[in-house]
Amino acid sequence: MAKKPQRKPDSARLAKLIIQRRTLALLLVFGVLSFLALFAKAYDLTINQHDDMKSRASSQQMRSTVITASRGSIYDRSGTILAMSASADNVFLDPNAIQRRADELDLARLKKLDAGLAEGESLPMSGQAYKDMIAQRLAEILEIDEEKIRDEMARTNYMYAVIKRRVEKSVSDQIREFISSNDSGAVLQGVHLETDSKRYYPYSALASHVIGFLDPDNRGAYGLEALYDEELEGSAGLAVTAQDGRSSEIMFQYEQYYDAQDGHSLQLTLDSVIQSYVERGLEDMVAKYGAKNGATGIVMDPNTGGILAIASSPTYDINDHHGIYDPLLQAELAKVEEENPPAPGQEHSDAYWEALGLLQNRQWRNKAVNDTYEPGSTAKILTLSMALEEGAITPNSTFQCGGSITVSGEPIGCSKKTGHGHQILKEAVGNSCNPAFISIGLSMGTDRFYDYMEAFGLMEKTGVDLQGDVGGIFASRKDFTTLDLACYAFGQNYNITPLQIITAQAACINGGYLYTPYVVERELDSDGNVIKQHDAVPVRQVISEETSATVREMLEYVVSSGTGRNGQVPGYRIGGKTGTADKSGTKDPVKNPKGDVVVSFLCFAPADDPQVIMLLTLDTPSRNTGTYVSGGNMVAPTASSIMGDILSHLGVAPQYTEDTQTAAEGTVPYVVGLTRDQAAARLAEYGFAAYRTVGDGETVTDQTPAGGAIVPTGAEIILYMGAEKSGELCRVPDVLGLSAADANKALANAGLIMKATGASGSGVKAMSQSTGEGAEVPAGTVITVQMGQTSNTAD
Amino acid sequence: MTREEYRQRKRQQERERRRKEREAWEAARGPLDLPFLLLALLLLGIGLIMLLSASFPSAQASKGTNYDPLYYFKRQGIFAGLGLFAMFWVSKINYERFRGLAKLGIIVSVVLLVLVLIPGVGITRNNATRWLGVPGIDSGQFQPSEVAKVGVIVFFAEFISKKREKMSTLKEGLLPLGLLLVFVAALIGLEPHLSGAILVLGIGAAMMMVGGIHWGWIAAGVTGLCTGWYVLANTDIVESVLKYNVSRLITWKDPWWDIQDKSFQTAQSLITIGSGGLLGLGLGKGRQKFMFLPEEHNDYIFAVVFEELGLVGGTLIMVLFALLIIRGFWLAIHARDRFGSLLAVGVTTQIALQTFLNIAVVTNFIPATGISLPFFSYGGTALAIQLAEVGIVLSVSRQIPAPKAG
Repeated sequence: MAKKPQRKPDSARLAKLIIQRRTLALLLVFGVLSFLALFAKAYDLTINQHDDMKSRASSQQMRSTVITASRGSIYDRSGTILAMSASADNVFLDPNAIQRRADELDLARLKKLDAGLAEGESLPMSGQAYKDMIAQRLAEILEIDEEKIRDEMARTNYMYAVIKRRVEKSVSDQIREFISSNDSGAVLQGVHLETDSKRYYPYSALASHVIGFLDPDNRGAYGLEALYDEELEGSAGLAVTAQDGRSSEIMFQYEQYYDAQDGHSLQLTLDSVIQSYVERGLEDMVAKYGAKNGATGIVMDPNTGGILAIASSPTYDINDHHGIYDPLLQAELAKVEEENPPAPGQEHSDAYWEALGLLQNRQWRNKAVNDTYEPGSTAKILTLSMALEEGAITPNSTFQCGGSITVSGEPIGCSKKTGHGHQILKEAVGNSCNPAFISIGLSMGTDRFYDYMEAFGLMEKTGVDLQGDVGGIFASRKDFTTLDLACYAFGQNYNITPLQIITAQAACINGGYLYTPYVVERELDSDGNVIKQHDAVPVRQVISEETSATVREMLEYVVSSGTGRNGQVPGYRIGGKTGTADKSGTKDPVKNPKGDVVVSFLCFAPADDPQVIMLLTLDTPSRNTGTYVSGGNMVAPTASSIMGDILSHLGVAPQYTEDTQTAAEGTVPYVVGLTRDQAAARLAEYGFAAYRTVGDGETVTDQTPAGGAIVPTGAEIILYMGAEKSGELCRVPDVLGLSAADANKALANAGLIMKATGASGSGVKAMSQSTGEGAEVPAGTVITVQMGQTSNTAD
Repeated sequence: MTREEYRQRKRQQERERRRKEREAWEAARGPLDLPFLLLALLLLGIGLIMLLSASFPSAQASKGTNYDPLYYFKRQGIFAGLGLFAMFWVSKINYERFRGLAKLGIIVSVVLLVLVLIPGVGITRNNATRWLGVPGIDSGQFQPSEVAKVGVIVFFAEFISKKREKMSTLKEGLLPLGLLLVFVAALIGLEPHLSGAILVLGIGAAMMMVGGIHWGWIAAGVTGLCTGWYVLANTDIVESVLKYNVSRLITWKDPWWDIQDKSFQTAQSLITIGSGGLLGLGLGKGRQKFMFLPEEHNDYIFAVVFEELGLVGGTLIMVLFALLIIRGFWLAIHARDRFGSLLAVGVTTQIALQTFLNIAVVTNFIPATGISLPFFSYGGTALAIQLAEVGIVLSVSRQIPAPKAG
């Protein structure tokens, strides 16, 4: 076929060309340029803004739940729990949900009203009734103000309002029941419980200054709770889980758990029994002698520095540490309240709040560690020790006391204005003679004396693991004059804490070794493994073993025959030293001519091998109690009774001499059912010689005291031979001021048994009795009588 | 003219017709363009996988899907199958035959677009009436605007291919087509369906440009677009003058201004993309799809792609799109005739515009508007129609003369 050259018309070719060219342009724009722009944008987002976007993503995708760690406990040395945590519930409202539910109820009610009620059907409660029900019932269960709950409920844009923290389980159970069954006919909405942890202090006020307390957020605020907060608290764990946009957990994706680390527990050197003896003793002493500024007591193991008890009065209840605990302080607060009545609408006056704050601080203060005082004569132990060690004196040194001594032109008086006359060293210590100790001090020279004060650790803080360990106040070495030395020698003109001086005194009687005092024996993890154990290593040896032995001997003399006689404990060898220290700057020629004092007593036992050392101080006792103000008169009797309790608690066996035999104790055997002779033999076997019988039966039908009772072996045991035990009560006679023998006779006549404690020997008199005159008690009741002697010289 | 002559002429004509038909048939029997086909299949495959990954969390959590995690994937898979069938079927047809459907197509499109606007006929979702029910098929629905796009492409191709140089005139070229385009776009815009209208306008404009309208108009159009862009980006004229609710524009400029509400979608999209980083969290390991990112299986599926596959994976997929688009335009350039070229340009432009606008919205490159991503976004009829359109391009590709050897 003959073909014409196939040619398209020019216009067609041109049109096609245009299409091709312009398509190429589109290809470049849509196939290349647009994607370059998109790539640039994507690069910016995924690379440049990656970190920002990632954190934004994480913050919405991740949910972290805190797993609370359980706070460690605090134990005393025998494992008694002093502080522990247990879970408790916080009660909170969701005001928003309550409002929603109330609206729902109102709506349902309206609908029902419109539709009409079927037979036996009741209207749903109104929204207001719903709110009322919640407010009333919660106020009732939680014992809080209904108005407070209503106020919280009114804030309907909130979803979380805690109305009571850390309620007991019994209370939270009631709340749970209220939530699940109530008059609204459905599960309560808007009332919730959340688990929190609550700290319990089973012994309330016991060792409160040592243990301290927590703040409302369960963080340590005071005491060991604060000092060891990190160890006790442990570390909270974290559960990080993925959540979706509706806040529900995505189970299978990227979960991460960081376990909670439970807090460590502390085991203390404190002995809760000894602590309670000391606290009770302080309380009695403060009340009895009207001490304005409270008292302190420290019991220490002199061979390790471990503190067995440390107490301060006034004290407080840890479980209610904002409340005023001490009755004297309560009275003070009441007085302020009375003098400053609150303005109308006010709960309390401003003066009341101010006073409350001050009193709180006072009761929280651990005076034994936080406050310094001039130690007075108990510090003579230090002067004695260093002088003996340096050979400045020997036990045979003699001293002449004329009632005063002049140093650098200043006359310094002795407590005995007429003077002690000629004394050997032992007597000078026993008399607590100031001129003798001044000359001992002077014989040391300022430098050597100052060296020893440093060596005894007084110039620095004790390093105890308690809060607020403060240091003393001293003249600097270059300002330390001979007159200063003279005063320092008998414990005046410098300030230290009770803990500082007992630490130094322990070194004087334990063989010369200075230990750092401590209360935390060991740190245990939650499984009971020991994490940290205190290692009692002496800081240094200050005096030799021999010197220390001599000091012990001298101090034993103080208690057996000197100013410390009231510190005697029957059956034990006690060493000690009394102290009556002037408080510098408190003398006022008109108001207070004699000035305020701190009376104190240091003692240790057994004197030949000290196991415990104790220092009691009584700050500013009243001069109007009838007892001459001195450590020997006011503190030593209390120390004696505490020390007696401590020694028997520690199981230190008493050794009675003939003198102290009246104080020996035995366990009354059970003799009911035996014949008279058998019973007598059994009683004798147990050390009870005296008995009398009532009735004329063949066998013993009853006895007083009952079998198992611990009473002095001198007591008369009453055996009822068929006769009814008389239910008659005996009237306690007044034995104060009587000698031990007379007192015993008086009590025995009344049908009672006397237990004598304290001093013995000639001249001692009954200073106090455990049950007051005129009280009616069953026959055979043991009346403890504190024996002692009051002197009219300061010590 | 004798009967014999007449018969002979008739036979002659019949032979001629058969010959032409055979020629046409033979021309249409060339090979499919393998690169274009493979790119489309690859994107469809990846798109289905990404849809599964993106959609299972919401499918699992939603009552509407009967808590079936595979709900969206299965439905999309069925439509992909139907679409592939349509694609191959269309690709077998000689595209010249579509010429005859051009007028019918545009008329049907307009009728459907009007139908959907009649209250009670169209199906309304989210305040927009864009869907028509399919009679006889339960819950069978489709968007007339999807049909309209094809209608516009075919009609414009046919119309322009006949005009030749007359296209450059206002009266013969720009005016009739422009008016038709604005009319169709306006119908779609009334639904309201802004993005659909934009797409139709864009496709039509691109075809008119390629078809040979005067350069001046193109220059005017480009200038207009650039000015509009500049005004939107740098002034608040729209906000202050039009008093129009323009939270989309505010969001575009500051995606964090109201992340709880008005800019939530965009902010979540940016978080999704940005948290993916260079390499992504790994396929299937995305987190934002768990009820954080709305429309994650739909218009915002590419954000999930960036999150799970990172910049690298996302870019790779963008390259595949780019190659598909380049190949589509390449086929247009090499098509046997103008009609074929214009068909390919129309379809490719549609794919290109949707891809660009979708990813640009997802990355907040342009203000948010709802444009689905070809082969990826969930939407059965749209996917099927898309694949059928690919079939049109493939059909055009069959008639491209093999390059002469030597």
